[in-house]
Amino acid sequence: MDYEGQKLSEILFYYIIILFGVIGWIYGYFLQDFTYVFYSWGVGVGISILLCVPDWPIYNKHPVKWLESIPDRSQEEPKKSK
Amino acid sequence: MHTVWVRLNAVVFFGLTVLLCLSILAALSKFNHTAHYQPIIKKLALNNMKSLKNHGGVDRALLSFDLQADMTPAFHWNIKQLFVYVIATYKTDTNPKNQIVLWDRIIENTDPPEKKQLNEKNVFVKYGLVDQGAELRGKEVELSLHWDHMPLTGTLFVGKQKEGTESAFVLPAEYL
Repeated sequence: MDYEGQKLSEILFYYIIILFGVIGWIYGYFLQDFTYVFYSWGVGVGISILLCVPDWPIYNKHPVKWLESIPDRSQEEPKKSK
Repeated sequence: MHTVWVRLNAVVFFGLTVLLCLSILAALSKFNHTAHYQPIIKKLALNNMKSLKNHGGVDRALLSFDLQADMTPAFHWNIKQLFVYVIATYKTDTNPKNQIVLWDRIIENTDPPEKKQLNEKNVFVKYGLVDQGAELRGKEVELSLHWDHMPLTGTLFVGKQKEGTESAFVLPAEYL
């Protein structure tokens, strides 16, 4: 997972869990039963785990561009022996 | 966030934090519930005085009572169960205030509606009315209904029958 992917994954699970939690809370409030909140929250966490934990290809669209590698020193001129 | 385990940890613990917030919100949503909704106690009174005896220097009275109460108003989505109990209050020369639990019952929120209606006819006490000494004879005893609210989230708190609506009776002047 590259840096952009990590950011995306974190934002995704924040919103998914909060969204499912809030919807469940409102539904549970009107039916006066907290188990609905718990189930809805559980679904949100489950989806988040499936979506945000594995290293899906969507999180690898911005690979870090490394500098060109410096040529190996041993292949430069041999060291001077004192 | 660079390995699977770090991400799993982040998702699970963020989830638990959200659940905590939702639970606190649920508790706050019913903050003032008892001010508007109180159980209706139709009847709590002595039915039959079974015995009043002295056991090893300590007085013990056994009795039965009638109880009719609708506990439904006490329930809401943040209450797991109610612990309902009957208390006998009386005064002796030794102790100005004695409170003895005579009977109790747990009503769960998941119980069917008819179970939230207490309708007990001539029910015998679970625990005897036992005095600290031998001072029960001829004493006036007051029966009152109390209940502990056990919430899903938040603190346990007690509810009780309105002052002045308790029923009272006088124990026999002699052992029987």
